[in-house]
Amino acid sequence: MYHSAALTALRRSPVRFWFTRWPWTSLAYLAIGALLWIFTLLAFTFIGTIPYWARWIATAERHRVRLAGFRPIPGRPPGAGLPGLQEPLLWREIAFALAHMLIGLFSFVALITGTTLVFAAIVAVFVLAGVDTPLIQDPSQAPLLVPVGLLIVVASPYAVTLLAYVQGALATALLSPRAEELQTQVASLARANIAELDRFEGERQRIERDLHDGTQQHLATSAMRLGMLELDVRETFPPGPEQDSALESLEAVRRETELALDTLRDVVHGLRPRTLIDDGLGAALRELARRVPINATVDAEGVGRFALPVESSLYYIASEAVTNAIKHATPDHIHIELAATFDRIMLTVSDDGLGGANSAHGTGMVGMYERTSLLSGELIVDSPPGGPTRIIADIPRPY
Amino acid sequence: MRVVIAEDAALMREGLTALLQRFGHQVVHAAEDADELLRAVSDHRPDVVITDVRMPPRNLDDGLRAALTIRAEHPGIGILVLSQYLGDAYAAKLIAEPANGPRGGGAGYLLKDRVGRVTDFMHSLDVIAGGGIVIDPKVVGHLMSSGRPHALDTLSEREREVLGRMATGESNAHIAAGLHVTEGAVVKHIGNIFAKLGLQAQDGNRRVLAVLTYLQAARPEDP
Repeated sequence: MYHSAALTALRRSPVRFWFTRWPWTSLAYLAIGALLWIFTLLAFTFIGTIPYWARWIATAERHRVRLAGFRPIPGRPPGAGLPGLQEPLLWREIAFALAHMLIGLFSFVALITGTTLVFAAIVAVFVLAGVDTPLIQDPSQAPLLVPVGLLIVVASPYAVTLLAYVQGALATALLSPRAEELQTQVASLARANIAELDRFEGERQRIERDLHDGTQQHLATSAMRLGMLELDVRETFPPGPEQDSALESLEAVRRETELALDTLRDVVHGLRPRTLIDDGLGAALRELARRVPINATVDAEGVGRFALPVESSLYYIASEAVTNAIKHATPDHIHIELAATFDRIMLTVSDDGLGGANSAHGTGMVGMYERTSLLSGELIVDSPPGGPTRIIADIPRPY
Repeated sequence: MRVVIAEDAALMREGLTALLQRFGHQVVHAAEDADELLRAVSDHRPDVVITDVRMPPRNLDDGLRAALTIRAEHPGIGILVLSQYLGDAYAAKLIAEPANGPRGGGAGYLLKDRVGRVTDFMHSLDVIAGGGIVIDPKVVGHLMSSGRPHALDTLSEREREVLGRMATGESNAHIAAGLHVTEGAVVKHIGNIFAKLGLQAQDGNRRVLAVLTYLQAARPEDP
């Protein structure tokens, strides 16, 4: 028994049901179905178009069932491309198109018959009232037509709603995604996320390489040229105020060049800590702990290497967590722990600070949540007011 | 002295060559990648090798790996690594690799922009050729600022400064001039540093050992 708001309203109070919107929406649902039926008929005439039509009508149906009082049906996973015949969902969609052919035909006939009879009954009322009309050849049928018309008018809201319910329930049964399809969808989303992270990582790598091989190289070369220029100045200018002022200018330019290089070094480090790439996440976490101005310890023993996007994301989470702790919680000690089993990776950052960490603390926390969910994991923030704070990123280990 | 350089960027390579020649050194080979560097070192047996960290074939730390290989195969050759990174792991890997034998070559780790400080750069080269150790002051500062509890943390501000300058291969007289103190004061500081780092008189080159302690602090625990 599928849930339909229309049917619920009908069962609750048949009399009041008359004045709800459901008879009308159900009628619209059936009418649209009847119209679409013509195209379904055409599609089944040209066999090759069946999959496309089945897919289209299923997509329309997923939204259309709302008219019959159903919840919209979740669609197929996005980005699936053209329907593949090996896809079970497509076969169910074709089955629905077949069912639609029968129900649509039935709706079509029922709607036309019902409308005709009601119209005939109205005419019959006029005939009985003595109005002469060419529409009815045999006036003796008129007394019979009036009760039939009345009956249809009274019963049609219920009939229409029930028919719409049957079709809606059938659509829900056939077109809802199956559990294993959802499972596949989750897996493919996880894969897409890792691919997305990989792309992101590749992008960072490209930027870092461009900076290193381009900008940094040019700046270093110009620093060297300035050094040679200094030698020239010392050789060509006689010692005195002229040489002094030239050397002073050179020194100023060189300081700027070195400053630019210092800044770039920080940027490049922020993009991709070398240690992370060369020696892995454990080493990078230890380096992170050394960099912070407070006492920080790391326990990452016996954890091997993971895929670079995973290591990068976890490093980012750890670095954000540490930065947050120092900025907001004024702890005395921070402890970072990295542990891995055969199917999970857990990163824990704990501090003995003030606690009360939440996502209101700027975008850092939000970024941590995003990174964790991209890795299909979860981020647990345990930070009661007064501390201590524990932030745990628990992710599945990708293969 | 006879020098082999390895640097993949043409401009830098040419500039370095010109600079070294200007100071009367002989550049026996200028390599463009790590493999060529190793071949050139085997062929020419230079006094000193100057190499960039990142270069072909893999464009990762090939230059540094080549440097470590040279250290193992030709311990007498001095090695100067030029880098764009403050990367302490890099410096530690090179410096902590002990050069075997009595005539162990020196080693150095300088940031690339240091080349522009021509006089300093040439001085560093001499230190390395003489078997000494040179580390870029910026790298030293970077290591100094790391907040890990360590023997180094017991040093006073002034002692750190002295150690930092020692690490760059400065002589006592040099350090004294730089800090505007007497040479006697520097000697006293150095004595205190050795005491605090637990270095004994018979430890050989105490200066180098002090610097090594310093870099060990920055080494990843696992090799």
